[in-house]
Amino acid sequence: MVVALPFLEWFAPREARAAGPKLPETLITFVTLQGTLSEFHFSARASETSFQLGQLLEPLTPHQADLLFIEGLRDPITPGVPRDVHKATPSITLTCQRPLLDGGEAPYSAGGPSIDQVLAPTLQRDTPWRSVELGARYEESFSWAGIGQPLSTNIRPRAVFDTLFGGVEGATNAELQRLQLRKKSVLDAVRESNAALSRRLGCEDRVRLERHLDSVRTLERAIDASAACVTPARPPELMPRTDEHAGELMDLQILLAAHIVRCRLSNVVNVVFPFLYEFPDIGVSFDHRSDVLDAHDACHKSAPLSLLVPAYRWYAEKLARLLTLLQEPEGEARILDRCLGVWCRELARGTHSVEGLSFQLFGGGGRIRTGRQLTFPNERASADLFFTLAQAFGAGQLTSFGDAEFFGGELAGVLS
Amino acid sequence: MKRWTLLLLVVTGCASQPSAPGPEAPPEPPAQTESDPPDPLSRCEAAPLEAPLTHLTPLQFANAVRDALGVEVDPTLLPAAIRVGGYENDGRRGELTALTLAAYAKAIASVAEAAAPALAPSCAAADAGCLTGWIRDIGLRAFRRPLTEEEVGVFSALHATARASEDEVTGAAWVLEALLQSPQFLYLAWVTTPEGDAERLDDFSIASRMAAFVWNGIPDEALLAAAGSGRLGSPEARAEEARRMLEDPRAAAAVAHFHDQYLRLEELPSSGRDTNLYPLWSPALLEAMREETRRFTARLVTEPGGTVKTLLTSSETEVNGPLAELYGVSEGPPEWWTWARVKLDASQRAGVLTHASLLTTRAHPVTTSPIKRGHFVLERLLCQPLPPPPSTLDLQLPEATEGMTTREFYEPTRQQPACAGCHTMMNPLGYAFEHYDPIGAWRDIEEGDPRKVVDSKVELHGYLAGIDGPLSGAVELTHRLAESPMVADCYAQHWMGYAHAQRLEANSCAVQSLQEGFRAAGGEVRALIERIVASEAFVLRAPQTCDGG
Repeated sequence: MVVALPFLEWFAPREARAAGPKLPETLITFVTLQGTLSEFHFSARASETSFQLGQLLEPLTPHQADLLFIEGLRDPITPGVPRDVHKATPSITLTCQRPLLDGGEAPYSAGGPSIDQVLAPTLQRDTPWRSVELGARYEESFSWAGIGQPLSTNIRPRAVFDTLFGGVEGATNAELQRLQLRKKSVLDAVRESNAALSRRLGCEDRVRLERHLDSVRTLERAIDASAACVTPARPPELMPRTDEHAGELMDLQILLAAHIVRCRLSNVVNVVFPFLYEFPDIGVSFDHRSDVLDAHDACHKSAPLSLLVPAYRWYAEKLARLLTLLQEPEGEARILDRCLGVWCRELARGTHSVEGLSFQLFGGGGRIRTGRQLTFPNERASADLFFTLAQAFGAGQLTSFGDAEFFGGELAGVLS
Repeated sequence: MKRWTLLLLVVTGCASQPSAPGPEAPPEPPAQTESDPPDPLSRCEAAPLEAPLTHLTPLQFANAVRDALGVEVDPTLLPAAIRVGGYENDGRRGELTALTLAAYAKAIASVAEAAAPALAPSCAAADAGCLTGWIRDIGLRAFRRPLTEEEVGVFSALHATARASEDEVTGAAWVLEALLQSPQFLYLAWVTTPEGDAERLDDFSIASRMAAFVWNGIPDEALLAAAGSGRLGSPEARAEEARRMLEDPRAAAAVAHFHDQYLRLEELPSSGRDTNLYPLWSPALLEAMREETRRFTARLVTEPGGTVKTLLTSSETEVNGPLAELYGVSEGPPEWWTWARVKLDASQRAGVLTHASLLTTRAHPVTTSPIKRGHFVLERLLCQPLPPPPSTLDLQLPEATEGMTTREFYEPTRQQPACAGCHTMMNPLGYAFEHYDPIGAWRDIEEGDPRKVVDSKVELHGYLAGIDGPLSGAVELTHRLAESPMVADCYAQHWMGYAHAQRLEANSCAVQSLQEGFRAAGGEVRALIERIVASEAFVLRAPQTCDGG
């Protein structure tokens, strides 16, 4: 077994960057499953800047000026992946790497880090949490720290809230101080007592333990950081593993994501939607129909549109919700202006096609050409878009991303 | 010895299609003929197995906290472990991430608060020996080995800091919190000494490994004492300890949990059954299904003579009200929610493959899935993962016509040349289960439609002598599987991988020697567990080398 070493710092020092619009500070990924129906994305497209959103994306119309709509990329990896595509895409979508098949037992391991984790070490700066993964129903994550190192998605908003925001309701200052002294003393003891064990372990295990201690240091930093921000209301506890509350739960996660960004608790936030069999909050249910088994089956058969269109549109509503929250003013600008986000899909279409992937970039603070729609001729890969995003963050020393065979460099027309 | 026969057939059958690109194509099996039987032990991989650091799973954490401090924790409130290949203890999961660790830290703080009042020592302030004695005692339980002087010093200092601002109980709470937050509690880490091409685990590491495997928890006092006396290096002593541990209820729970993972019951759907077609479907039924299989598999070690044959053929099970209704048991439990031991109709039910849990996991919301059921038998029972379908494959089947059975609907997958290679292997195994609807109830016609008459008769070719031939359905199939050495070997391979927290290949000498012994012991599960613990492989590991230092 080979243990990967910690990431190289990919970036030149911040001061060395060229002048221009201020670099974005925060990356938000918004991942949805089961593709889309891109023919319903636009109702009219006269030019790059003159277009009207169609049924599926219409909820994003108020935010059109903050969005860059990209169509026609492809994912060259997934077609070579075995059988159950949905168990492979979590290791592909954000890594653009061939998965490791591990003897054929799904879910598969990623062949490299995901874009968010490539950027996270540098974006972290003085925030306590390197990245936060929020979702519902499943812990499986699209984020990978490296080869075969999945992060897990947090599916209980209340637990995330308690961890990140302290979760101490009605505590006095004295009580908080005592709590902080305790946490710090305990963590000091944890680190000190660890030296004895570490000396006696094999070298792979020592490397792994060192990574664990990084997490312990994160907890220490987090103690100071959470006190500095006005705490939002504590979310209710919802059943995390059913479709019934998935919509409500994702709304809470989106709210939490916005607060995490606002309070600068993390500069990398991943919002991952679960695969839903039904969409109870908009009354779309695929059960009880003998012609269509469930949403997955419905997507496969590309029918009936009366059910599929509202289901796909639901995701655009959720993104619009996040964008609305990020409108909050911050100094002269809005919170959104220091963020750069991307809506990614695991597949292009519900039929498991990966040709013609759609992406929507948002925010960017002037670093990306928002208010436009671009279509690529389906020979450029999603890795090229992620590489371009990294450039927007000023990752000048990053020379490639994803599987080298399919990497084609920066996408023209995205950066301003 | 015919261990390669099926592998050959599967691979050549499926490989007639263009295979997926990439380096992961299935390895060519070595060519063997009937007249040239392979001697598996002479050609196996003798290298010691790897034993990477793993963190406690949520269930192991809860068990450890209960046994070390006497406090109950609900493992479902902890961040779930990612399952690799179905197993949540697999070493490839990596370390605890900061957010996961934070969730554990929060749970640990509550545990420490709850445990401290009962556990805090009543030591006079001047009596340093009293306090360090307490720290050594509680530290031994939490770390599963004696603390070093350095560690005792660190925790004593922490206790002093707490007591300076608060009291004795707070001091104890802080120490408990630090002990449980330490990687020495949260991880299973092996301390070793070099020995030839391998490294040998020390006695306390062996004790921890035994408890993680047999109890899904931590060592008790007796096991720690055995480690302390240096006895666990001996295979006989380990076997003796394993026999003692198997008598404990913790072993039954751990064995049930192994099977829950082996059978991949975490894939039981939480929703998505059509209650118009399947009115018995309910959350209570769903919960009962998984519980039935837990109770059934626990009996493999709580009752004498539990074998792989018991697992696959016994029609004795336990049911509660919802399950009694599903199985059509007339004399069910006295109350809806209580459990009763029953003998199901042996012509309809035989072993775990005919449990509602498994049949439901491998079905669609409205129809059964002979493909999923057949695939499960191949992959999990026969250890024959299929090569991937070609990516260019058209996954669309012709539309179902009125009155068409599920079997008829899937039949074209055997006709199309591109699909036939694998589907001729999967489909017949799945068709055999067609008498069970998507929630595992027996049926003679599908969805109450008299045109859709179930046909579970199949003719198996090209698997193995003993499995091949005409079959009336699942009950006959599962009896044949129970007699197959290939199934026994596969089952032993899964147990071995679970014990070693990794996926193991069949070409490992350690795996093959276990398989030989398992077959010789008539497939007895208790003997299998004992044998794994007593094996040299259990106390040796490959040396670790770091890439680039």
